[in-house]
Amino acid sequence: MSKEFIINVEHLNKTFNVNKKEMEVLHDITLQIKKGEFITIVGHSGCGKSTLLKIMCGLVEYEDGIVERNGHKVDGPGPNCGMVFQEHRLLPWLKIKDNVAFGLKGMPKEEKDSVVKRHLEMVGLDGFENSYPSQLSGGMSQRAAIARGLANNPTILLLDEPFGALDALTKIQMQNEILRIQKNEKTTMVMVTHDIEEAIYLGDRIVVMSARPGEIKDIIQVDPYVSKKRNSAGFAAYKKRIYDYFFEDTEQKYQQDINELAI
Amino acid sequence: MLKYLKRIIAISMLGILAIGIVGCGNGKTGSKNESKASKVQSTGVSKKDSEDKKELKTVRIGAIGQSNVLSESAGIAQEKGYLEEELNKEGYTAEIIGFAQAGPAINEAFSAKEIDMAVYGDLPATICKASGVDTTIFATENSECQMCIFVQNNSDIESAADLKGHKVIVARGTIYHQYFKSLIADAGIAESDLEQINTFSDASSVMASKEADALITSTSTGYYLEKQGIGKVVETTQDHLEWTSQFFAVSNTQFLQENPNAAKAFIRALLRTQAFAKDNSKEAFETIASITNGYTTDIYEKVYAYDTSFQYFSPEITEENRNKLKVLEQFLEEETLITSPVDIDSFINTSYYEEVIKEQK
Amino acid sequence: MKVEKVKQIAMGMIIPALIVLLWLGATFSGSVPESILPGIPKVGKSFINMIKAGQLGNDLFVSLMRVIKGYLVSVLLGVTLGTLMGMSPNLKRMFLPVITVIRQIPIIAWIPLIILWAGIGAASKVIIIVIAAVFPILVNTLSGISETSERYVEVAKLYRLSKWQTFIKVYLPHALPQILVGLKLGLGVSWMAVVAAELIASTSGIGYRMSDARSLMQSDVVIVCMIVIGALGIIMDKGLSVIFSLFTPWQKVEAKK
Repeated sequence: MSKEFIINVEHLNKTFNVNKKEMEVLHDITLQIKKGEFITIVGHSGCGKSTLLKIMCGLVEYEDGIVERNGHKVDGPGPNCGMVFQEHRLLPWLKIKDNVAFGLKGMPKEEKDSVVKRHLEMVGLDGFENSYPSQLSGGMSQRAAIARGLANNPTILLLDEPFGALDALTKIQMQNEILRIQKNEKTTMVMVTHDIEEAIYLGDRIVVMSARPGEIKDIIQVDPYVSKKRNSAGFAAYKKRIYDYFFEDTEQKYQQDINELAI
Repeated sequence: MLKYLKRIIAISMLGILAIGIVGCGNGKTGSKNESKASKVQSTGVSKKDSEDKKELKTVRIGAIGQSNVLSESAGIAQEKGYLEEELNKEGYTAEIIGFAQAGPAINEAFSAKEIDMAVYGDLPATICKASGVDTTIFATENSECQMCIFVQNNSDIESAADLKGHKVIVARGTIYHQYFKSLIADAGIAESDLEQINTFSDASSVMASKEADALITSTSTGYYLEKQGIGKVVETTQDHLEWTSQFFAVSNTQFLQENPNAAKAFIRALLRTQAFAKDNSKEAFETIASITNGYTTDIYEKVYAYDTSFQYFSPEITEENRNKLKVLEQFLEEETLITSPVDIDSFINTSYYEEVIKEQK
Repeated sequence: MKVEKVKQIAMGMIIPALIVLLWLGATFSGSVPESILPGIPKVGKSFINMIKAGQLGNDLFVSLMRVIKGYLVSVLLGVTLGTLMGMSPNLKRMFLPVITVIRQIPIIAWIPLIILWAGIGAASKVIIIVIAAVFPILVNTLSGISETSERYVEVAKLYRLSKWQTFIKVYLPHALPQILVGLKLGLGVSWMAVVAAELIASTSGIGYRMSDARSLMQSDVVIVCMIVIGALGIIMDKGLSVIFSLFTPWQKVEAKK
């Protein structure tokens, strides 16, 4: 038991049975996250990053390895760990305020209302309490989902490619939003993304994962002075470093062809 | 705009095609049952050459009941071959079509001009005429149709008065309807004093499953069901001949006017039947029994025991027949079973019978 | 906005107006005999007579009571069974084959058997209605429940909702619009079943009245009965929609988009 880490994953292996074949989705994952950190996990689709997140959350079972949250073994979802999915997953039949309040149990009405109001303000959606999800845009819905994830004040928030479906400009807006929220609420955040720039911009540490089986290739500790400046040379260097992990073979070969042509 | 128009035309053509297919494939409609032996050829006739048959004009005759057999005396005429023989002589052949829902179904067939003639009861025939279908009665088939009250085996119903508070099967719009009305009027009870079940073809199964307490039906059917152990006959029209109904040979008026010889042939066949029955009553009953599935000779002997001269089989439409029909017409008007009156004198046409008699002299 | 509404209503009236025109044409030109298709004035007169005599009201009431009884049983049975089958794949596997087979048999085929087993009284009518109406309700409930997206169920798992709570808060609201479709279908079928049952062997009800009128060649009465049944059917259908829209406020919002 490691109490200094809010999330502790040691030597986690996970296999799935797909069409009667065993597929190893995660291989020997070790990841230890401190309280208040913003961890981004970047990798191809299908490299098991979502599965890792769901195991941390308690939505997917695991047999081989250690996964602990707040010092306790993870054996199911808990109130201290919220999640935001790739699709907003707001229940269409509930108003926004009821969606956000979905996880609030055993609270008197006035308290519930004020919690909802505060969180909607936090994500910039106050005034939309009585709207239905179908009336909101994609970005707004995702913001409501974040509000829901934070409503019961979890110490950890897991985010599974939450901005994947948004257009480029809204995405940048939302990235700034989540940073601001994290600074204010001090929630530990673990975000999965396939967007390298997003991973660099948001993360204190970036976990680079490869696919089939999912393994951690590297964990990069970034210098926040550099990583928060999108147009800096340092940012570009981080980008190249991560990029290389994914395209090392083909890049080299391409380089060779150009060199040969130049001769 | 043009594309839109083209689409409309295409859809209309498809629609017309669909209707055409349905229309062409739909030879006969209505509630008729056509068994494999629908074109009944009487057994007594030698099978003529098929070429001859093709020259003969078909007369479509409606009959009561599921099987394609005419009622009693006409049935004897059919079975002994008299009907087909007489018709062939005049260049016709009969196609007998049975109607499981009896009178009401025959009326629909007349209305839709699906049949040319029918042998059926006075009540439905009058209702048909009243509704505006142009038909003519040209001969009598049976002027004393025997009917009865049939009840469950353990029933305490002994007469019409006991029907009060019970469930009675009365086929509305048939001859049983009038008999039923006569019974309850005589017993002094109202229709609201009991429950009526309106069915003809399902009557025996309803009685067999004990869902009804009584059934108004023909006496022959009553005895038949009694034999099967389903119940017992408690009263018949033998004791009240004035309550008997009449069965007539009815024809579409236009068909009659255009094919008078077909009617005369029919009448000749009925005359032959009456003569035959008078001299061979036992064989007559055997013949009827042979054409009605499951009914036996002794049943008919019982039904007609009161008069073996078979004068009720005479095809003549007598004054008595005429008056009885007028009484029926009044009854229908009073009970608002018809909304327009029927002129019985123009409904009946005795000229065909009279001509046949003259020719035979 | 109002013009739009008027246009919609007008469009809905076109076909009925056409039918009335065809009716008028057929009867006035004399191409269709009166015994088969009576004229509109005659039907109108009969309608008034039937109401005055109280007969129409009685018959309708009797049939309506049967429909309501049978329909309620069907709803209870259909929604309950559909829900259970939707939530439990095992139950579904057990029941679905039998249900699919029975469903294919037309109601008319059942009637003689049911009359034999249950007689011609009220019980048999209710049974016939249930056999007819339970299937659309069941099938649509099953579909609505089982098609609930796993994604929503996962959200419920995330917030550690009990199985019952998940049913009430996720499965049921999701299935409601689909259940309504089934309920409406079931209602229409109930009317059809009760009239069919009453046509065969009955002592009362609107189907009985139609059978009686047919025996007496009173096609005007038959048509009045048909129109009345149709009108009642529409009213009940619309009533169901209104009741349901109270339970599914989010649908209105989506429809407006």
